[in-house]
Amino acid sequence: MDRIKGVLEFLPWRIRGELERFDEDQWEQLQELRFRLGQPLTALCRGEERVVSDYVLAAQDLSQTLELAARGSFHTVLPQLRQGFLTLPGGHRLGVCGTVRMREGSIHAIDPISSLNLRLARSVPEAGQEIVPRICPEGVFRSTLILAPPGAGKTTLLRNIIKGLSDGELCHFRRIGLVDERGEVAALWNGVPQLAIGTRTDVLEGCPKAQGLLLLLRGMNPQVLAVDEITAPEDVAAMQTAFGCGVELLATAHGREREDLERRRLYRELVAAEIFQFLVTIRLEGGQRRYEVEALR
Amino acid sequence: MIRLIGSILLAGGAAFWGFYAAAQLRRRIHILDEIASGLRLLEQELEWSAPELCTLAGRLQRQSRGSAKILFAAFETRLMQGGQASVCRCWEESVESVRDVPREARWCLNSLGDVLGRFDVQEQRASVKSVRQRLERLRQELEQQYRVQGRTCQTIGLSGGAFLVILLL
Repeated sequence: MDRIKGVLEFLPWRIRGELERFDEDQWEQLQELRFRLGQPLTALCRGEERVVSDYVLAAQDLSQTLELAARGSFHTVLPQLRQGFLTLPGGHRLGVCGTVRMREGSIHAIDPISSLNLRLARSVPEAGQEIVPRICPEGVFRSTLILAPPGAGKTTLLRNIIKGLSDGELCHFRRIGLVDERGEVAALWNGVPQLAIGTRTDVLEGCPKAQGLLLLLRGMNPQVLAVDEITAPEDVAAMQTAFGCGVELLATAHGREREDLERRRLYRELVAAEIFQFLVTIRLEGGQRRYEVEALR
Repeated sequence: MIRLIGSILLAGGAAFWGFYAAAQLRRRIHILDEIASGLRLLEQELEWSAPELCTLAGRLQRQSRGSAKILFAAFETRLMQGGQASVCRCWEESVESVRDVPREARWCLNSLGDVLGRFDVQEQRASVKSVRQRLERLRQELEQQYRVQGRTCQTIGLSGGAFLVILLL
């Protein structure tokens, strides 16, 4: 809970005062805080957004929040901001919205800011732990693809499997190389992962997946390469190269069921390459996640 | 005897005033020199590593000297204190803590508060460079002023003292 309350450090006094009135239960349920210019502060609790206070947010509240989050040094967080969010200590994320200024075809700045969304990071360490022995026959990890629709918990499961393999929980430990292009898996902050990814995991953040996989392969001698959300043919090509070098792979992809792998050309290539031995699908049933493991080859 | 001692004191006082005024002018030039050198270091640091402002201020205060050292040390302290003060406020307070900075130079330096940490590295460097060049121009103006006024102050001090001595004796 202290980790969650750590976000107060990045909020102006006026807003902090409003949140300090929260009791433990409210903190427990809190998922997001939303700051919209000219609107009262709202909070997302258990999927429902409600007004926290009558105080109407001014431009200065938003800019001060962003300045505190960037520790007054926007130049160090601009690459992240250009992706629309900023990672904070504790793995929390500050999403930014406003008027985008373009320069030479890429986002140069977001100014003025119209709204901010502070998403609180909560680890669910037990999620999917039960599948680790099933994707590690005889205690050794074999290449696995996680398939699920958005919001089903792919990234959480990927993170938990990485941690399990890296720490040798329920299987032989492995050296993991993680390409975390959007900083969602490890949430590095000043080089330190803010979310648990195990002791034997090397993270390459902000790097395109295809390049990152080959960089890790050449430089870090990994036993397993992990990557979140395969989206491009070059990602598949890089995975084939890595697999050809004897490295096991762990990846996620968008989809609901095994048939989706046949429907999309990109995934068809992936299956045809016979890289992955196991497929894990996640289903949401009655608010609970169910993990299914099946063999692909 | 008393008249003689009084005359010597008056002459000495007047001469001291003249030389002190000239030294003050000289000191302002020196301060601008030091701050301009500090800003040059800031440009280099922004070009090569561009760390967080707090780290940057710490490095600069170790590398610079005199007034620039005071400026960056004050900036580092204020940033490290954290809290809710904006970077702009921290910078302005730090500029305020450096003594004997000419008013126009102070105004120029304060304008950096709106830039430091708020834009990308190129824009920050460009602004620092422009402020440094402005300070260097101010320094040249002060140098010319010193050539004229410095000597004038010394001459007025010495001749004023001599005049008073003649008048009293």
